[in-house]
Amino acid sequence: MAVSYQRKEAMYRAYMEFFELAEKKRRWNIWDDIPWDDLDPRLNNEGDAMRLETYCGVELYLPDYIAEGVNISREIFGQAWFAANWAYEESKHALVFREYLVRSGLRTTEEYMKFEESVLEQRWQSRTITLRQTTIYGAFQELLTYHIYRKQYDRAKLAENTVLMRVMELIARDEAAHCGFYRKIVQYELDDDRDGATEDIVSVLGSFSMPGSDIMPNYQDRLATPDAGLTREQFMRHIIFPTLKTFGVTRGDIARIQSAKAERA
Amino acid sequence: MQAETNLVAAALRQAAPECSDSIDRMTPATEISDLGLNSIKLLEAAAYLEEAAKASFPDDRLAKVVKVQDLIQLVREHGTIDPQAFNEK
Repeated sequence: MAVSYQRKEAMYRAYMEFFELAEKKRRWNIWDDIPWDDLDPRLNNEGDAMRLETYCGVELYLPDYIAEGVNISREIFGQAWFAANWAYEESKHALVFREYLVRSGLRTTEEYMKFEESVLEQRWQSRTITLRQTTIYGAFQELLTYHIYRKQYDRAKLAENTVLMRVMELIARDEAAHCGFYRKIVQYELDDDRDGATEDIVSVLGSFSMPGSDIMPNYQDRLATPDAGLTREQFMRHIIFPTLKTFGVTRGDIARIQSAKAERA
Repeated sequence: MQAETNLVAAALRQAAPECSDSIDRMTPATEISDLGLNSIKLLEAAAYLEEAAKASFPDDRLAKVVKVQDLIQLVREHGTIDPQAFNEK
């Protein structure tokens, strides 16, 4: 479906706002912004290794995410350029996890390389079909990753692990910014076609899972590591309810849309 | 209690007709996820329940729903029961 000039212009403005903040306030690098000299291996355990390795694994499918994300949005400058910037930022997340795992001694380089190889044996494919669905998925998924990393920040703080605290602070901040952009774009979609976008929200939530969850080796076992993810209650409380509220979508809207869909079927 | 249970069963069935068999066999102790309903289906069922029971469930309580019993309790605490509500649809 052709995208109007007005929409393209709005997306461009949204991207420029996002990018200006990213460039001026949020840039960081793994050499200067992580206090590696303070790294104390005694503060880590196998649970930390499993969690960090799992998050790193999710990020390792980045080439697949980029291929789908850029191509599906290529006709809309603002969204395609966001996808490129998003990929750059996410690439740093995988790097910092890998560096932490090896520098801390939680994994040897050889162990890490074997893990990476096992993850990349599978190729990630998107469950969403349209750009709108992909954007909606992003709004929920980025908020979820923000909360997961925020939880790791709290854990690190409790353990007085300043290095891991800084890692988690930086990447959680990135994820929150990504969520903000996606939310803005979903709002445009709702303004254009409220019922259609709401139907997509229901559809995306109905099949929601973390990327890589069905292809990463031992993902469910990894998720069973304490605090690795969110509980169902936390998912409802911190992800679903606030996001629906932001979009102005109520439970009643969901029921109405689903009833209409059932009648059409 | 039976009226609330019937209302909950009707709401769950309306939200997830594909799970009707398991809903028919459910007890108050059955977990919603074991019925085959995911979070969004639970929200949809809650919306039908709110409409039928003329209720508004607090989000924080809905987030804690695990078992059928939890939904029944929500109806009891926040709703006004009209057993015919779903029959009229």
